[in-house]
Amino acid sequence: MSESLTLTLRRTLGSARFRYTSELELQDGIAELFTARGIAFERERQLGPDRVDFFIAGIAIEVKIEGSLSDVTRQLHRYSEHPDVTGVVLVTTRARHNAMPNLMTAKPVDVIHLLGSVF
Amino acid sequence: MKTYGTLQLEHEKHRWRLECEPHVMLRLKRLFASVGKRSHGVVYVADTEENARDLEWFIDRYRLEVSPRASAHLVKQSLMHRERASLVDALIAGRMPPTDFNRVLALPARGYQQVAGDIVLRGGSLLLADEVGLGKTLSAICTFTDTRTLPALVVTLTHLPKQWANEIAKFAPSLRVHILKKGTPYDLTRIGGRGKQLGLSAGTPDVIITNYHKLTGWAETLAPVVRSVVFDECQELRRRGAPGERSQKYQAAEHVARYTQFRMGLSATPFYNYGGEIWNVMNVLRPDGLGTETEFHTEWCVSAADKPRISDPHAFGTFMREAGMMIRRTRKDVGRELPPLSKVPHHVEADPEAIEKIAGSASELARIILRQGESHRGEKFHASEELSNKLRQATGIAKAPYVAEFVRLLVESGEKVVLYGWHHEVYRLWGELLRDLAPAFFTGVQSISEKDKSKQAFVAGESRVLIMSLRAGAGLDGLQGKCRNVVFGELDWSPGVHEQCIGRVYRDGQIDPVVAYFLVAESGSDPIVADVLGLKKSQIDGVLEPTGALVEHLDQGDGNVKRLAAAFLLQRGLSLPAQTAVAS
Repeated sequence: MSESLTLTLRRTLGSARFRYTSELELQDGIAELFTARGIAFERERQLGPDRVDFFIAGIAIEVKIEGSLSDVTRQLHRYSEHPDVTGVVLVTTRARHNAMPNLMTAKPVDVIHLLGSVF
Repeated sequence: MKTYGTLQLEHEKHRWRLECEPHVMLRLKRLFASVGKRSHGVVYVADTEENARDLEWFIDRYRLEVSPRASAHLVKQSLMHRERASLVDALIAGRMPPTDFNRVLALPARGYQQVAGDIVLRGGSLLLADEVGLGKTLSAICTFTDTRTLPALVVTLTHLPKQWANEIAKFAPSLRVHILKKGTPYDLTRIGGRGKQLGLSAGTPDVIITNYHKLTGWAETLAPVVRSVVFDECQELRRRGAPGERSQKYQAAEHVARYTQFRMGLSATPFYNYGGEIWNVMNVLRPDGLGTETEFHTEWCVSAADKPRISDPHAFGTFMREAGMMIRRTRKDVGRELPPLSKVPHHVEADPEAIEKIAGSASELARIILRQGESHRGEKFHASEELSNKLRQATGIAKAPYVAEFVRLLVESGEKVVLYGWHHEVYRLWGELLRDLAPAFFTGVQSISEKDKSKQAFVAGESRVLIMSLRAGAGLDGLQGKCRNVVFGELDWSPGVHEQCIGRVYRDGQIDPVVAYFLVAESGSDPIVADVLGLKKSQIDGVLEPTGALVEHLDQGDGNVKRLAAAFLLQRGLSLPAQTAVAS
């Protein structure tokens, strides 16, 4: 995965505070931010049986405000197995998702914890 | 003309009884989501203004038999609904001139403060949820200038009666104010006030101020006497207690409120945790405003066991406003914007040993909590309290040296700091680690006069660090302009508490940008508490600001802390590490 894209995502998402009452609203906020920063993205891209929230240049981005670690891990793992995917990023408001393996199917997995939106 | 059934008013039970043909009943159930799906033949709907308005058009479509008396009540309630909504709307939008309270106040109130007072006088009740520090107290004082509200009762937090008395003396000096001194009733007719003019014993005070705790003993005595009640920091009413073990504080408030003509709740943070708490608060301020508790739950909440969450906070917030039950103005709305506030989460180290120490007893407690079955409910509850407390304290202790260093960094770069915590053991550690900076304390241990002294020492600059309890300071005024840094060395479970804490410094009179640092450890209880905070915050934001933007710019925390570190090094004549880029 391109190192710089993950970094850009981390920096961009870290510079915003999101207001949300549902996962969908958080995704809308993220889409709004990406658009404002000129980051091109695809939403709801079909990856095998799943639809990933955002897809940017081979990177599957999943947004979570809840879900157990194991459920989320399984979901990310399915993404990582898809041939179009070169890397996976989890954008989450939950600290417990930090314990994600950083490699799945030999593809890098990054977790961006939106701590700024919590306070 | 054909009728489809009957509509009867059960006045004493505050509800409507509907009996109608099965196909009409199906329609009715679709309209009133709160009516149980399984109820047959007869259904009940709470007698609220909202429901009256809906029932009115329902019986227009499906004629029901209604007695003339019930019909008159229905029309009256429904009219009230229309009027209240348009009144609040007109006043807020400025289409209707508000009562000019400034003719009678010693010092002028601002327009938006008068509007809130006016809504109470015209509509009878209001939850005033203006942003922290916009001067809600004065809106209440506006209402006291109308003698219909006297004698008035103000119920506030333990440390605030004095502050209230001072404000009243400043703006309405002709009012005779009395702060209740004991928790048990004594003769109030010798205080002096407008008593006689109001048809009461001469000597009854005009405004009686008490804390929530004392109200318990006084409720019976005061209820028949006072004509209006103000619940300051009304999030205190968020807990009602389970049936059979109702909170005494809550019952006292409910009792007094039932008797009074005017009711006002003041709080920037009317609920602290999950949205379900708002029903308890509104039940006191405007009984039946939200229907029965069951109706409220079915209509608005998803139940997470005993902590009902509001399923659509935006919709609910909009509803509360449109029904004229709540108003909330932000600083921006009223053109009193302060310099910016940044909330900066900052990771700090934590000493793993301090957390490890409690591992043994903590896992024992955890096992109790996770035990299957209902039989150990009480035990489980206590175990969770204890575990939460133990873990949070251990986390506080583990972070303490790093928190103290962080605060020292701020102080030595010339700043003053309000440092928030929760556990005595943690305060003690901070006190030791920062001893040379002579911190002042404002926590649960200090008496009211000691707290006042601490506040003075901090305001005067004798202490540059004020160590405060997370839950001791709601409503406290006077720190703004003296300090622009808030540090959370320990976290609370409720976002509302953090708002209140920041509000001590970030309020009218603040001239500098304020930074609130949340020092978060990556171990111990902090990650869990942060998760819960996020969840609760989304409920609160949704209700209070239904139309807020989805994204806002987060002032880059890193930048702030880096600037601080650089200033610190430079002040000590030390050089910056190579390649330090510090944005100015």
